[in-house]
Amino acid sequence: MPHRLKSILQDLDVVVILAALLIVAAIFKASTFYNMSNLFAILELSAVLGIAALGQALVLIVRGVDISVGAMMGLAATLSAYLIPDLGIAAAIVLPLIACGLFGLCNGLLIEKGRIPPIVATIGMMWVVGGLAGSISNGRLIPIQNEAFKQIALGSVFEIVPMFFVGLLVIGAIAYLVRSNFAIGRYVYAIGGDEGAAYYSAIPVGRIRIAVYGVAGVLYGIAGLLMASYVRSGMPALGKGYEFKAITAAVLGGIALSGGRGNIFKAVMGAVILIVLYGVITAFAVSPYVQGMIQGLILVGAVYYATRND
Amino acid sequence: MTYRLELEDVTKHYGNTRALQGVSIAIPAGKIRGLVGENGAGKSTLSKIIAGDIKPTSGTMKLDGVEVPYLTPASARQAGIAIVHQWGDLVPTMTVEENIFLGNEIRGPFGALNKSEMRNKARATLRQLGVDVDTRLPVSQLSPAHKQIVAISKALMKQCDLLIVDEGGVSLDKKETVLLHSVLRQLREQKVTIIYISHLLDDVVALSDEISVMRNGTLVEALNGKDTTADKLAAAVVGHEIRGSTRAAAPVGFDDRKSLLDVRGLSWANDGSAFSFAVREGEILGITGPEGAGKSELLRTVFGLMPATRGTVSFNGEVIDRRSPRLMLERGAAFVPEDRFVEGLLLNRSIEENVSLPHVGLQGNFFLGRKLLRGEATRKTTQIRTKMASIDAPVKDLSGGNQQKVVISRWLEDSYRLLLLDEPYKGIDIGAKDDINQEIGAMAGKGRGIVVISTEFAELIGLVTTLLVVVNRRIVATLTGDAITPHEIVRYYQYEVETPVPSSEAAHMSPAGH
Repeated sequence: MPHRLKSILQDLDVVVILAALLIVAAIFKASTFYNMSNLFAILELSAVLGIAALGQALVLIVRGVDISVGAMMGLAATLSAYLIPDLGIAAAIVLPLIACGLFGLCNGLLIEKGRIPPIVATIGMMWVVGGLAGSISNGRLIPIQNEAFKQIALGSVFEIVPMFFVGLLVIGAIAYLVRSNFAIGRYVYAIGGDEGAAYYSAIPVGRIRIAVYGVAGVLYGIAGLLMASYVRSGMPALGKGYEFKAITAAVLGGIALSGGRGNIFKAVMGAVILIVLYGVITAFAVSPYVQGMIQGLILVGAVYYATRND
Repeated sequence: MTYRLELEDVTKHYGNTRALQGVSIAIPAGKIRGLVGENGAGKSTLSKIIAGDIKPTSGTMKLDGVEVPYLTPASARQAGIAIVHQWGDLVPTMTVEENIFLGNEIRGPFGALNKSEMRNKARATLRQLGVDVDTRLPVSQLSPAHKQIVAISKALMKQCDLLIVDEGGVSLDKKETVLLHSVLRQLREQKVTIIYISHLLDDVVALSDEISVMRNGTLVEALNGKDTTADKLAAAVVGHEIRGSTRAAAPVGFDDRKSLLDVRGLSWANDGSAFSFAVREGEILGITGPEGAGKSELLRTVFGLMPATRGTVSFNGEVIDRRSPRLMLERGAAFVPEDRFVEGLLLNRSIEENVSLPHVGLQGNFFLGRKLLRGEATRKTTQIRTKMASIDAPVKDLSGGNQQKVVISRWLEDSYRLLLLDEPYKGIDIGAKDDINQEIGAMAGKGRGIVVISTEFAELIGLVTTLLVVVNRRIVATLTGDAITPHEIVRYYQYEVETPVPSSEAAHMSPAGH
């Protein structure tokens, strides 16, 4: 099965990048990079970005893009921190996710029914959602005292794998299962691959696209809640910049900006690579400004590499 | 005898345009019915009505002898009717088996996909049709014929027994066409009724049991497939009311004139195609052929809008290698694209701006000579008889014909020695066509060279001095003078021609490619 082998080799490129980064860290900065607390933090932040990147990847596959990722994460975190003293942990998890899902559906409706380009609709949503989170918190950081909520970030399996990462693996596995074993997974790819053909095949293109933005909203919400647990507080700016990090991770994982192509599981790998890279850069004590420059170069480089290989 | 499908007195109007007028057709079960006609004859309107994509204005429809209400896409599918568009039904990034079952998946417990059963069924169907395709390949990697067959397999999975194949043979080579025909015959054995729509007359003659000919929205003739030839069919398709033939014959005898454009062995693909032709001063070269034959790509490659894979283009005796639109314009060649909305016009801007557009960048001054540009724009649009309220009106307010005149009026200056026009008659009225043709004639009269591409070859008759017929990325005929007649042209609308090129042709105008 030669094309099978070929696709396995193609799938390995992200693993190769990851291995290269880890080797660089091992050679030059073993003591600062390879200690338990640093690796633990890297896995936790990988999970946060990985889940957000999964949402972004879904949107990219249907030929969209979502700029409201960071604002949605901020809303979920803020809302959760605001609600938790009065309503308890269950409501403080469920209600923010419902809110993010609804705002995601609004994105989808604006794009599908309102015919507004995705980038415009989701920039608008970014400001609306950000403004809402700001009104709830009055612009301030809301500390979280709830022990159970804080425990989410501290929990682990055998003290090695953070609960966050287990969550990422569960969500990733569900996504993979749906992609490969259910018709809806194929429909999402068909819409991105050729919308006309999808329509001729009697696929409910509009409803699926709206749903994709809704599901993506819920995923951003989960990422936001994890982040809130990690920093033990909620604030609107908590997810700042995550929209572009999520795009970078998805592209690094081989999700085509032109839609219809790319393995969503690899988008998660892209997120892991990005966070490991940040870890390595931090170990070298590079300034955050240089870090920003490197991030920009990675995004452009990944898109360049991807379009060359089309 | 009951028919699988009967239409009686079906009419379709779009506003004042009659797309179909009183069409009655009866299609027996288990036969292949060819449907031919020129562009705009009503073939696709008819097929869309049968497939439920559009509703007729009036008329009745019967399936298996029983009158039914007008179909919707869903009820058509229910009734076993499926349409195969020119592989527009397939998602190129998805695999063959994913495509065949797209929107129609086989599911097991919990709604999970039954992938092994789908794979087996896809393989079995393709094997039954006598083709060997790896069902795990993405559709983008298939040949055109295999794409077509995968699209047909997809339709068959929906229990269809009335299959409409729209332009199935276009862009297939001879071997691929034979393959497609064998698949369709195979289906006929399985009692599937097939409506086969095509521009390619030989294709239709070779395949069909019966052939219906459409012209101007009506059915004009029904022929028996067995004792019809492509020539007879050509006569029926064209009819006798050809507008172009009433015009004065174009002048001939350009052999001693200076060559403007010399294209040798040019191609944009890697399929062995190679185009060679020349345009001399004062000559109007027409290029016609069915849609998808490669006419537009040829002109775009000449003008540097598409990269060439091989061959040379000489202009004014100089070989131009790294062609770009800007370079070609600077040398004095201009291009009018097929899609004037996307590539030709700024719809919201004024007529003056649109006419002046290419001259703004080329006049070489930093400041725009507004007054000069305005005067020029007015003169040019008037010369070509553009009907407009004012030179400042936005182009979107103009009719299609007048919009096309605005595009052409950019290139009226004699300094553009060569003008390339891609489908200039598309979507414009007869008056505008005549105005444009008159202007083309006047330009040629001043020694400029013109190349006009059109699928509406009736417009080219009496206008062009030489006509190339392009089919499946090959020049299959080079006609000149009195040989440029509708019957002669349509005769070459075939997928394979043992070329009888008249010996009077200039030596370098040989049909090329194999």
